[in-house]
Amino acid sequence: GRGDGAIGLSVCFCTGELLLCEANTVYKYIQEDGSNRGTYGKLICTNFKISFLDEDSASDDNEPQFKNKIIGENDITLQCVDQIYGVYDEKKKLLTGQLRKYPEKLIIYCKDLRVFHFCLRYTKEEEVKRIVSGIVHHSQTPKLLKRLFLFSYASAAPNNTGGRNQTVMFDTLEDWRDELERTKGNVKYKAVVTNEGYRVSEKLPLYFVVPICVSEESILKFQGRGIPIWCWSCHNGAALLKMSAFPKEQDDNTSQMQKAFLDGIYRTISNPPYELLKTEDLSSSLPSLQDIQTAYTRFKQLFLIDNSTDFWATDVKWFSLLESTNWLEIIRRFLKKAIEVAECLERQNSNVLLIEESATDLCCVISSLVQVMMDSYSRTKSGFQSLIQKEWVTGGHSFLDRCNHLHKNDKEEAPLFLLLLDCVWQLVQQYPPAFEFTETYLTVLSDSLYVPIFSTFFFNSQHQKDTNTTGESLKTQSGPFKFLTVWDWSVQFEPKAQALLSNPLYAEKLKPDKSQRKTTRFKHQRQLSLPLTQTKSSPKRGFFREETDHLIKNILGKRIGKFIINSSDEPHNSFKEFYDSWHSKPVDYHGLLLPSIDGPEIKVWAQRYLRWIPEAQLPGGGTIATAAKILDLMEEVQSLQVKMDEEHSQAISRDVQAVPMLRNSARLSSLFPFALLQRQSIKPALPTSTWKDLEDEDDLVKRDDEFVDLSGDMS
Amino acid sequence: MEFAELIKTSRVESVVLAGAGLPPARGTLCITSHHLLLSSRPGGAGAAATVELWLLIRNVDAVEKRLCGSSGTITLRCKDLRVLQLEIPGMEECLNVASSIEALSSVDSLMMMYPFFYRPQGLRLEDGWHLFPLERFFQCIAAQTNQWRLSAVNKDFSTCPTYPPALIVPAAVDDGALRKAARFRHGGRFPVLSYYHRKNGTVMLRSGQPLTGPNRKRCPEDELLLAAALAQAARGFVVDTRSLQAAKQARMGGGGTEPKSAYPRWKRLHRPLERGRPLQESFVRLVDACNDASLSMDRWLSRLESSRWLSHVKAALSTACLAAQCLEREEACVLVHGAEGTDTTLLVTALAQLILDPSCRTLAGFQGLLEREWIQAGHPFHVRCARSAYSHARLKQEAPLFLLFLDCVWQLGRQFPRSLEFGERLLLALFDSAYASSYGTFLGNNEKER
Repeated sequence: GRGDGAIGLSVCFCTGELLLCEANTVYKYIQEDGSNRGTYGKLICTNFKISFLDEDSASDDNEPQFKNKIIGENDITLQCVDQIYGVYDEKKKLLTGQLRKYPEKLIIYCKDLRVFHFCLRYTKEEEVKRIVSGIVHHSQTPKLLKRLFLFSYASAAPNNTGGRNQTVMFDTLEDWRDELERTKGNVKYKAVVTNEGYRVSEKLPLYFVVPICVSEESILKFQGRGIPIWCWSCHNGAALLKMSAFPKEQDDNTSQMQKAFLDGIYRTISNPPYELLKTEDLSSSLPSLQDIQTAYTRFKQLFLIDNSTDFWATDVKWFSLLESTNWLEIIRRFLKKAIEVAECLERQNSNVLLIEESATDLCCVISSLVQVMMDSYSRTKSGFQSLIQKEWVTGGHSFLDRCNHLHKNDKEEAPLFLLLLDCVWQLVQQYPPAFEFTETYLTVLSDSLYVPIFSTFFFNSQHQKDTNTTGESLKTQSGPFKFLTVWDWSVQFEPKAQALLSNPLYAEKLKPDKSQRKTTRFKHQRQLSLPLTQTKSSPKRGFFREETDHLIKNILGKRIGKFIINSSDEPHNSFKEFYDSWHSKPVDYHGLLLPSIDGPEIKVWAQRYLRWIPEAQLPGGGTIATAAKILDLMEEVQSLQVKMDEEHSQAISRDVQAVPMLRNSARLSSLFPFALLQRQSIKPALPTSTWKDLEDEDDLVKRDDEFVDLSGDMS
Repeated sequence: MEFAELIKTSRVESVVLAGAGLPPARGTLCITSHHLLLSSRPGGAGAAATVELWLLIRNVDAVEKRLCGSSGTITLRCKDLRVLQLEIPGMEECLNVASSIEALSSVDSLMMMYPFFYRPQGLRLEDGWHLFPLERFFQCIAAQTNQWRLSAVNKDFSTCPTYPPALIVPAAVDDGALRKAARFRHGGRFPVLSYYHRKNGTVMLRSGQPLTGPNRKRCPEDELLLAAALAQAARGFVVDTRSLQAAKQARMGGGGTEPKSAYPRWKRLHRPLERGRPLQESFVRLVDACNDASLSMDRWLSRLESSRWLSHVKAALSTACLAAQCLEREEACVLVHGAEGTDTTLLVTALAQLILDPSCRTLAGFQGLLEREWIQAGHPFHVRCARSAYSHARLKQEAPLFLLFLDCVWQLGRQFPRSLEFGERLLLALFDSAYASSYGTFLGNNEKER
């Protein structure tokens, strides 16, 4: 809907959005060059977002093509605000609660890494007071859950159907049964209804899956603690399980009881038909939530820079700064742990039980990563979304607390979901054809964490969502709220922009005529380790012989390898052997996918972290240049195909999927599609980091013979 | 000297070869005058032999031996950065093989190098050597302007031993003046044309440092040459690849820079680039960091940074950008030199052309560029690439400037993937053959030796 008319400038308001305060003649700096260029406009704060309304709305003619329908270029949702600084006499001060003095400049650092500089020197004092305290209050102070914009939006737009797409939400028993069937886990595992009415625990989902031999009483005994909960089954029957551990107990009696209970559970699920059981205590073998939060806080600081001077200053010591944040090392450790788990499942054929106190933090990252690596369905868009639903949303990850959306307790904050996305990004950039989605998809998904229109990332558990949906609707008695899910990408993007979320180079399976389920089964067969399939299927197909050859080579390789390493079966060696032998074979994009975790292979997710920094852009360069060329060729092939079909007088009109934005790749930035949002700037035709020494021609001429130390890094 | 004297054992049976990413292979090891061969019979005794290894001994950078019991292991670290392990039964054989390889790999005489012995089938000796003559390059320039001429002053290498016989110089300067100017420049490397900027009609020149010395000597012919090079262009920039301090210090050794008073229309810009031993050490540190095979490369980033290799890459690229910018945007002439004019100078002039001119980014254009700016321009490949990153030998004049150039080209290719007609593999092949090759392209230090 449109605004309520109270504002002169045209502004798009969401349904349910209310204006809280505003200030006129605010000057927004164009952060690009550190000069004082900028535009005047109005700064407003609503119950949804902070927004800067440009006075000269001449931007219509160069409308960015990759546009978010809800969050504009100058919009910051309240949940997206990271930190607010005020500038007093050239000094920056963090603004949190009550303010005594009002700053002349406001700097807003966003969680999606944008940085806004607003000058308030020309604004009326009254308005400055109102806007600054309004923004600080609404974005930085503790909030009630019901005050989230989510609820205003849902109650104002009760007709949201929340169009269900292919994503499996895992909120019904059916969904779990289907998943069991898909992965062939249904022989040994069952979906249970024990938690209906949240009898067992408010942290657990309504429906979940446990080993068949686990009784209802045991589930109820310790509120679901100590119960192995099924995540996923591997093609060989080995399953990935998770369990919330018992908290450290002072009382001897209780801990004895718990121990006996656990022993019983382990006994039942270690016997046939269950595979060997390996337990992984994640809290002892992975960085703590605190470590992750500290690393990310330091890491993001590298990208939240005020001007280009800051950029060049960090450039000199870039690698050691990057290393000192420890973020990349944390990514590496999570990827490594996931490979270890995959090795147990795939090669040792044993069940893996992930243990963590709540089983909703580190467990989510590891179990999701393992599935992305092992199950090619999780590498499709709907598969990945279903995975996030299964492990994170329904699985009970505390998004509200971990993202600190309500500013209740800073100590609870930890960017675990971002960590997962960054780990998946590493895989995407190492094996682009294996994924149906692009890095842009991951980037906009990470941005969606802060858009309080979707319920997906704004509850701590399914229980919390349910009670707040059906519960006492505050204003209207219109029944339960209907929240939107983030997976309906049409809410945020036009079809044209959505096209950029799908990978045109995705190596789709060549089985077009089979139904979804059949394809899945076929895939699992291919994944089977060969000694089993060898007897089952006839080796007359070409590709099959190739695989056998592989196997033979592999076995030979291993034997000699072992001979050399003196055949010690120490776990580390078996990991390394698994890792090395996988990497020595050609990649099957639909099979097991192991990331390279050597230091040089772990990279900075440039698109997410560097996208707003003009200095980091390569106009006309980057991988997008190649991608654009390939797309051109694909388009050409498709149009030739259409022509051919017409020649054969087939009246089928094909969908020529064109991505018109990618035309003219010479003008695209390496940070496409985000950098398009930047205004055209006067840049040197030649990329040179010494440009700052040579501001303009005259300067170069006027100077004496000089000695310019190359950006200081030569000393 | 006969090669046979150096080969103590020419054949050892049942040697196991292992290398990173390769399945180990067992076979017969043979040492010839230039090659190390390992052949095995994977299909059993009757089957045809497969050659598992065919290694140019010149490629071996370092030999390490470890004896244990009656057998020994030899680790060969190659100049192309491969690491190979040979497990040899018999202690004596192991020592013999190691010392033979060591001796053969350190043969320093040019005439003993493999390219003098290598005669591929169907070889016609003249083919390929004259694909990129300077004459043709000059014709392209002559079609645009008559300000420049092809001089044969160095026909017998007497004026400058490291320059090729043909050189492009201002038409207004005669050979006599060139000879005098050469005496004023380090190594006789008087300013010659490196690149003609078609659009602006300006040029890039390169030379050795002027020999001003502590008494600030001048040379009217050299001044005339540089003035003539400017022609209509309003001004020129001297890009000195040393720091101002280093350039001043060079005066004590007889070198120096162009003083403003003597060259009024030229402006000096100092861009210090690393060369010589520090660059070689940086390369060694980089390779060390890359070879840390343990999966826990915790310190990768700081080791990468402290190798400083990437800051050398960055400095080289930004200096080349500066030179390119002076030509393209300032419409000025550029003279590039450091001290000798055979290392960082060539790095900058070659990169600047690659940046400026799309024709240098085609395969043929790039090969022409290498021929002009590296081989004929007298980059001393033989001494610079004598040893690679693994050698324990005392460093003499080794410095990986050509590798640095290739790395810079790779960076350009990675940033602008569609700008180069050739790929990473060409760059790798060039690196390999600059250090050890069956072909003579990179043999020797200059055209005179060749």
